[in-house]
Amino acid sequence: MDRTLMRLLGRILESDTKRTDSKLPRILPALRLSVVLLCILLCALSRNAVFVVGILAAELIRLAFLPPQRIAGVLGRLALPVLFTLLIMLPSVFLGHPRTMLTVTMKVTCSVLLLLLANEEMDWKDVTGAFRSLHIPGIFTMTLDMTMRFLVLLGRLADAMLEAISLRTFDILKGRKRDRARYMTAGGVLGTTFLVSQRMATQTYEAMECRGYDGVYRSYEKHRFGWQDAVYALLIPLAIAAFIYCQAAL
Amino acid sequence: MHIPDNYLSPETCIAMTAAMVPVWAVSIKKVKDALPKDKIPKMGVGGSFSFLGMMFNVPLPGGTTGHAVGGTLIALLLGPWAACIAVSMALLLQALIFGDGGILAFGANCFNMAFVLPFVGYAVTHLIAPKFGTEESTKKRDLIAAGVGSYCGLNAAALCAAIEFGIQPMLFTDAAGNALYCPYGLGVAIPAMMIGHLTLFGLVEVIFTCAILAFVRSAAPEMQLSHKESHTSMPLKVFLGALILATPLGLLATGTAWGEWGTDEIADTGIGYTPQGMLDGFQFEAIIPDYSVAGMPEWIGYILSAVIGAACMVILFKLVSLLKKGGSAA
Amino acid sequence: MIQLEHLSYQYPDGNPALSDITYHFEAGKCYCLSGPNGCGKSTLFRILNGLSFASAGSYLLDGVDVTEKKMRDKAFAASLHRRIGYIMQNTEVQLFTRSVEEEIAFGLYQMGLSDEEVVARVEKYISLLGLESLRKRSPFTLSGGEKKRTALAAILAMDPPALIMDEPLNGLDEDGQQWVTDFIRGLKTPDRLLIVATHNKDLISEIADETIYMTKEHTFR
Repeated sequence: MDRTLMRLLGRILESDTKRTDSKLPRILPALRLSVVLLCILLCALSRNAVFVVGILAAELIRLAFLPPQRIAGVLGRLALPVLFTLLIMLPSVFLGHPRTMLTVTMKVTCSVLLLLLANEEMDWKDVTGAFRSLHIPGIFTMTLDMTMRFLVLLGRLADAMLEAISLRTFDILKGRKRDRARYMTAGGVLGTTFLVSQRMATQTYEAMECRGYDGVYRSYEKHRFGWQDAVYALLIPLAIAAFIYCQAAL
Repeated sequence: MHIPDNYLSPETCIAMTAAMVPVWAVSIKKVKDALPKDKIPKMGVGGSFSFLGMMFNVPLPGGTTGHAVGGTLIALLLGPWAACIAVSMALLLQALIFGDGGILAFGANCFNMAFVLPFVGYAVTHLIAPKFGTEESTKKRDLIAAGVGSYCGLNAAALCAAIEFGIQPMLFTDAAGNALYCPYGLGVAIPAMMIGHLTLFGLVEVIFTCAILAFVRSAAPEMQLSHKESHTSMPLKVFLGALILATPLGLLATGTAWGEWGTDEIADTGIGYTPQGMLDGFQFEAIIPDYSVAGMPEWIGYILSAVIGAACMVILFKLVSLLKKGGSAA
Repeated sequence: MIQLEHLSYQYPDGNPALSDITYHFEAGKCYCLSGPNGCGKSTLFRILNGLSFASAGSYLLDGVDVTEKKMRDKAFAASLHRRIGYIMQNTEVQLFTRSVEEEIAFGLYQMGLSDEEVVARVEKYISLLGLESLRKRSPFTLSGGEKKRTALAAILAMDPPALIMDEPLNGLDEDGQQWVTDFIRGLKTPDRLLIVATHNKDLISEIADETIYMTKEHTFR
């Protein structure tokens, strides 16, 4: 548990600081996200492998341009869903759907890779910010931001508690007793985290109130539609055209 | 239970998302009206809590582990409407930022885990313990009710997911009869999903919910657990119930036809297209080339393989360089 | 500027937190408040910010009585929050937006300032507190000192005539403490009221015009 948690927190923190060194032109996050969504949708709709393989090729090129450390990270995260899908779909080969395994696995690979790469190029703030610019109600976007924030704050707390417990735990219990002790630990850590989180939530609300919060939340970040965005937007008709061409050729 | 993309057809995903839109709209309205004023931070806490819960692998008898969703817990603490928004946001972050659960399938995942799960869990708990959280004397009963509620909630969600999987092969197949998305019919999908959730995952959800409730109760008895919200009105309950039942049925109706049930069953028994599928299935080379290049100019295939090959080589070299440097392949 | 008349407060369980405090805080002065844990400093600050309300006695801000009923009026609450800035002891809970910039802009938008004015003030306070390199970072990923600076920028940008700080040196290293001390000294102007709760004797001797000691009996001495 603690390992997964720390990896997760590490990823959030890293994503918060890594953006400064990016040489890529900043594309409007909402636009970037739309293109990703469109590609995933078209892949899902495609009845022809060429389109999916084409998207996959484009993604692999983008992947190849990343530094090795990041490639390893992306591939590591890609492996699990792909292997899982292969495993799930394996029986279908013998149930009369021989192609389904390959089609679905390939499409899953493509969709997951699209998302992972999008995440490599955007940080979580871009992603949630994209929702803001799409005029999703403020209560959603604010909850999104708060969720990320509490995830880090509570994650740190839970991690510190687990560490403190590990200092006082000696692996001598066996079987039932050990399980029982573990349930109590999990309940205690989560329960304490929960109580603290409630207090923090109340205090945060008071802090918002002290700065005059009246239920409306406006964003400071503004991103103007530049020429890079216009070029990037060309990907949309391009992808659709390629899709139609591939489907027609089938 | 996080459904990845391409297990469900885009049509299914759109239908599920469409079903979620009114639920989200009502949730926002309800939350704005009903929840205490510090609602947004509390929902953020709820969302991150559900997130954290999914990371706590609880050991189960027999050496296995599993994790929880926590939707019922949040529903009991903040009310089902707030739970809907909180879990939706947790799912959205997981899909977008951590690649867990599909983006197209977001609507379907929300339907199962952010809508069905908290509402069923909340309703069952309050059915068993009508005065949930209000009196000290009913503490045990409340815990049992929350346990049963969370178990029912999780399994209801799993059942919905299973049905969504199960209707795919009935509705979406290519000309050769191969399933385009999830290939397993209801007969396979329901038992496959439910066995795990009725036993392991259900148990984890119960432990997660009860452990936290019990701890909060004993460590901070002054904390008001009862969630003061006007109870869901009867017509709304009926509407929600109908929506839950109608969505998969509606999909069937708007999809190919009711008659597909018949052919699917035939297919399952192996009389229909199965022999054809079997023939294709065991000639491995037949699968890719036939499928991918059919009807396409050859040069596209060449270019694509060249591009993929080149990209893979670069990736491989970069990874090798990483190993040589002694850097850990994170 | 702030007048307390026989102010008392009891927790819902009946325990007293403040008993019969009468005091007058004047604009242009810096008050340091110290006292043992649990003497009621935090409760006093909550009351001054309109988050809790006196059980008995009254709290007047610029001569106007602040009551629970009046605080329900949005316009009144807004005017109080504009006049009093509050740096919480635990800055972690006070910063809630996605980036340092947003954090500073939050209160300014709530004040209804124009976009140009918001941008101008955000830039001014980012450079004033040396947050240039952190502007796009999320507040919850910052270090303790950086968080404190962000909170200061976010509150000061709203330009409140009264500023309340709860243990501003808490959780800071020596350099951070020195920086904050100097910064608070720089905040002293002829028309600004500063109320600082602190145990730090150096800080008190550096900045205080008046020192108030709160006793275990929840009164001022």
